[in-house]
Amino acid sequence: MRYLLSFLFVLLSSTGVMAAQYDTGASDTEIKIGNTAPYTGPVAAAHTIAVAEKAYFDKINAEGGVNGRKINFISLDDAYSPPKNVEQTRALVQKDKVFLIFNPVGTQNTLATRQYLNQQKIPQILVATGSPEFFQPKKFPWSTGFLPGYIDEGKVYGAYVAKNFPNAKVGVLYQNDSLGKAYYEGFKQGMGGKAKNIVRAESYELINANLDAQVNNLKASGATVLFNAAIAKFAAQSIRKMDELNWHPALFLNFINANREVVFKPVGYDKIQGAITARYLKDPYEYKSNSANKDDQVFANYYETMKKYGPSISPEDQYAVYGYVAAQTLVDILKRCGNDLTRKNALKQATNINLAAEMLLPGIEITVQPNNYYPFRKLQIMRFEGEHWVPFGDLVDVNTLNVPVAPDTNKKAS
Amino acid sequence: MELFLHQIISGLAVGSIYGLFALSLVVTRLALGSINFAQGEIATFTTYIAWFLINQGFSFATAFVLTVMIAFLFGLLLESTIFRPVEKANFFSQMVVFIGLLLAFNGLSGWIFGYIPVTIPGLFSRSHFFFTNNYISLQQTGILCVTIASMIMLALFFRFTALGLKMRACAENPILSQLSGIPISRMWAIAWGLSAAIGAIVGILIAPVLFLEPNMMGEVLFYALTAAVIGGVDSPVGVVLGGVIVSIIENLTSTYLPFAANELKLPIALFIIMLVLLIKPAGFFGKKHNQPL
Repeated sequence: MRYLLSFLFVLLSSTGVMAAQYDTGASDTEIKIGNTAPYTGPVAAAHTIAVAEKAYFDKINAEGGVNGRKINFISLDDAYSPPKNVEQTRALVQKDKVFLIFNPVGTQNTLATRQYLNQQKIPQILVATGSPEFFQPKKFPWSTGFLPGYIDEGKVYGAYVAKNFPNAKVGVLYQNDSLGKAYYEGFKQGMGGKAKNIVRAESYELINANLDAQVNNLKASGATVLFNAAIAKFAAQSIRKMDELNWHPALFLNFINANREVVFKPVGYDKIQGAITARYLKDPYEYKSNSANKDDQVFANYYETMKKYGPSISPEDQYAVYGYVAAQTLVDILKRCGNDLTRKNALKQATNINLAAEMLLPGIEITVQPNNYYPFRKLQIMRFEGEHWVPFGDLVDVNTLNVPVAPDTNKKAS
Repeated sequence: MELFLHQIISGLAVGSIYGLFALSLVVTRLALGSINFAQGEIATFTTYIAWFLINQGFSFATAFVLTVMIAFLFGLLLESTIFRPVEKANFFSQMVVFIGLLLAFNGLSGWIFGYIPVTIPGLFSRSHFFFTNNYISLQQTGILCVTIASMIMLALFFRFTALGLKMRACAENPILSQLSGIPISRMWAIAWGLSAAIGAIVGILIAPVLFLEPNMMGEVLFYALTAAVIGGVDSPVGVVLGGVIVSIIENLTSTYLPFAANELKLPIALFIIMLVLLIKPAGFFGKKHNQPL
């Protein structure tokens, strides 16, 4: 018996095949991935993120999976609510026995399970948030975020305003929660000494039925520059109200608002002309409407995947592009895990990313290091013209804040 | 001064939305003795029907009339299928049914029509303004007029018409009403139809202002309930005034109480409303009831 064992050992080591290592949720045939998304509730529009992810995984599975293993993507509805997120995440961990939690959507709701997952040493990776809460390698090593940091993005707009509108009165509109406050804080940081130019900052609650009062106050403050960090329908309502008041400050929108389907189409393109945002994702709309992109293979791959595996959602949906990028990042992580599918190794790979994923803007890459979890550190400033986003200037590094000079058409407010 | 006037008029415009919606709550309150929390979600659902019809090529007017009729029938249907089994149950059982309906319709709207906000054309052109200073848009002026007209019609209906009086009698004392020959189930069915129809009108009117998505009416319901409580939930005139008061208080606190950080704007507005209720528990125009609301 002993001889037999040593013979087997020699055989195994001589062929160079290490036995695969598995934690719960991974096996020779499949890897179970858990996810929560808002299929219902106040931000249900964002559930298409998970639909696009499923589409990408289906494509990968049809091509043979990751290192021969199929991805079993289990996505549950948490309605963007913290208690429901706790319930569903526990179900994923205890009932479905997933390998890791990938790209749950939201901040407050996913924060509700951060402690639990870190204690259990279950990776909660690529969470769809830019809140500083999810970029703390020391305190919560098992949780990583996957959006440009809200503070970083706010800093970019602040620096741009300080440089191009140094004497303008500035107004800010934000959602009164951790997301909105992070944007406002970043904006002030980016403005530096010019932050004293902020003459009015108005916030709103999710319970507000409309933002008319806030917009009235902002207009009355005499602001000629507005950083509008309201979200989704609130952004649409405030932009409509600005138009009704015939108030047209230089408008800055955070990238969550710079959403063609959710904000621009409902309010009408004419009301957003000249608005500025910072982007990192390609806009699929540019594939069909801009002949320069007709031969772009990246767009073609995206459309093909979405058409074949995710026909239920609009491929022009910005959330779908985001899901597509997040799914590629997970596949990259799992590929690099090789046969060591332990949670520890998954976290190691998830905190060492260097990926130029498809549908990111040219020059933008996902870089994550064990001591810096922020995946997107460069953003492209763009202006909305006609029905297109027109990029201008170099990529802005969120640390050096090398913001470009405003094009002439945007200088009217200074 | 200009900002003051602006916030007052803006409050009037938005408050009339709350008031108009609160009117549909008054109908169920007067006829059923309870408040239908699902009212908002049913209104959203029927507004989607209008949006669908307009997208199918119907003119705005046709879609409007068809939707209001569909909503009325829809109300009758809901009453006979879902509400009838609990119509004699106590208020709390009914409330559970209403909340169930709320969740069901919210999910149904999202499932059928999606969650991306859409817009429907305004009944009144939005590119022109009533006042030169752009204080209030034509759409909002239109809503204000519809609100006042509906308020007067409902007040007259419940006070002077036989049908309105019968409906109120059913809510006040179902047993006596039945003994005196009023078909109470039919009255309740009509009340459901009527409130669903008003809800549809509200939805179609405010969709261009708030944008149509499955959660459109959630916040409006919150404010409309506050408006109803402050104005007196039995009184059409009261709830409309209540809506305007709530809205103006909220606007003015946001402008003139800068020491109250942004966080406290809404609590302060609600605190003022609470003070009002301490002095007039039944609201400005409400009747005192022994029955809990």
